[in-house]
Amino acid sequence: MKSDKAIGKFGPGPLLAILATAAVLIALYAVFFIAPVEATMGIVQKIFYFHVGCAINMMVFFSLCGICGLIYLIMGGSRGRVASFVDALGVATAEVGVTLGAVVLVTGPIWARKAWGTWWTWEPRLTLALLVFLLFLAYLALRAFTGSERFGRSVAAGLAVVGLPALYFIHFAVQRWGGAHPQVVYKGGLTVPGMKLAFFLSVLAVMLVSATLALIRTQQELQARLVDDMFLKLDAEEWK
Amino acid sequence: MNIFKTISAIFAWVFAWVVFCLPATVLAQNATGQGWREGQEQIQGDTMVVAAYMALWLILLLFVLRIASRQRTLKADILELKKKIQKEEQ
Repeated sequence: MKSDKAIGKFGPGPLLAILATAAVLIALYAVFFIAPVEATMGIVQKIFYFHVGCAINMMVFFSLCGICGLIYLIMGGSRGRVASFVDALGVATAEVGVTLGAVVLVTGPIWARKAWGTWWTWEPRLTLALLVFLLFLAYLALRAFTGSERFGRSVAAGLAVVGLPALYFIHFAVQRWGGAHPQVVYKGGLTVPGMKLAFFLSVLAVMLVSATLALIRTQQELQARLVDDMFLKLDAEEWK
Repeated sequence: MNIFKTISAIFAWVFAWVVFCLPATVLAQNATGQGWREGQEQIQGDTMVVAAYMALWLILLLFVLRIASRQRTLKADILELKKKIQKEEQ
């Protein structure tokens, strides 16, 4: 059966899942056993590793979603194989991005409470991150309500494209408008080898987990569409 | 249950156990003075770290559960489709 064959087509396979799990465990070991405790902030700095890892990957996945939306719109929202794949990948990356965004928006204030003495402050990077998170949440809501309608998909793709410049502004917000957000990575703050290792392992671990989840969701989306199309075809044949 | 599912289940269990318990275990060691050799001891900071990592894995777990739920729905749909096709062929 066609749908059965499609099951393993775009899936991540067990190897990537095992690799992602191993990377998370190694990263956790590096964060808690290799990286030393930061002198000023103390133990709370350990939040930083996965918080920044999730933030970087959130931006990567939202960017991918925006690029997918752009390609979908360029292709005129056709029902071809490439357009369908790009559209499915767009939904999957948006979902993973929103999940990572939720992690960032929860772990960030926990760290900020200890580091800045407040849960939340309306500084440029935080405000923009929240807005972009809400934008992609709106994208997913739109997709959920419009289902397989071409118009709804196109509007959602447009929404994802709108998020692209906002992502650029999140990246450069601290440089352009200031704010309390630290620029540890760009200003060369990670000088201790243990901290550097823990940081890069965390970013890699989050990336592998996110990629695995995004590929699973893409596969599911494509399968669901295939099943829907086959149901429609069968119904049409019944009517004949 | 086939061997792949059993291995996956064991793997997931070990993963969940380590991921949820590692920060708490390490911080408990720290509190009793056996863990960290450097830095300062901050009880409130410890709580914050555990809370942050718990939130992180909880959000991830919810997403994975959602994926699993969708997979179940999809499998049910495929089964229904197969039945429908068989009916059509008869």
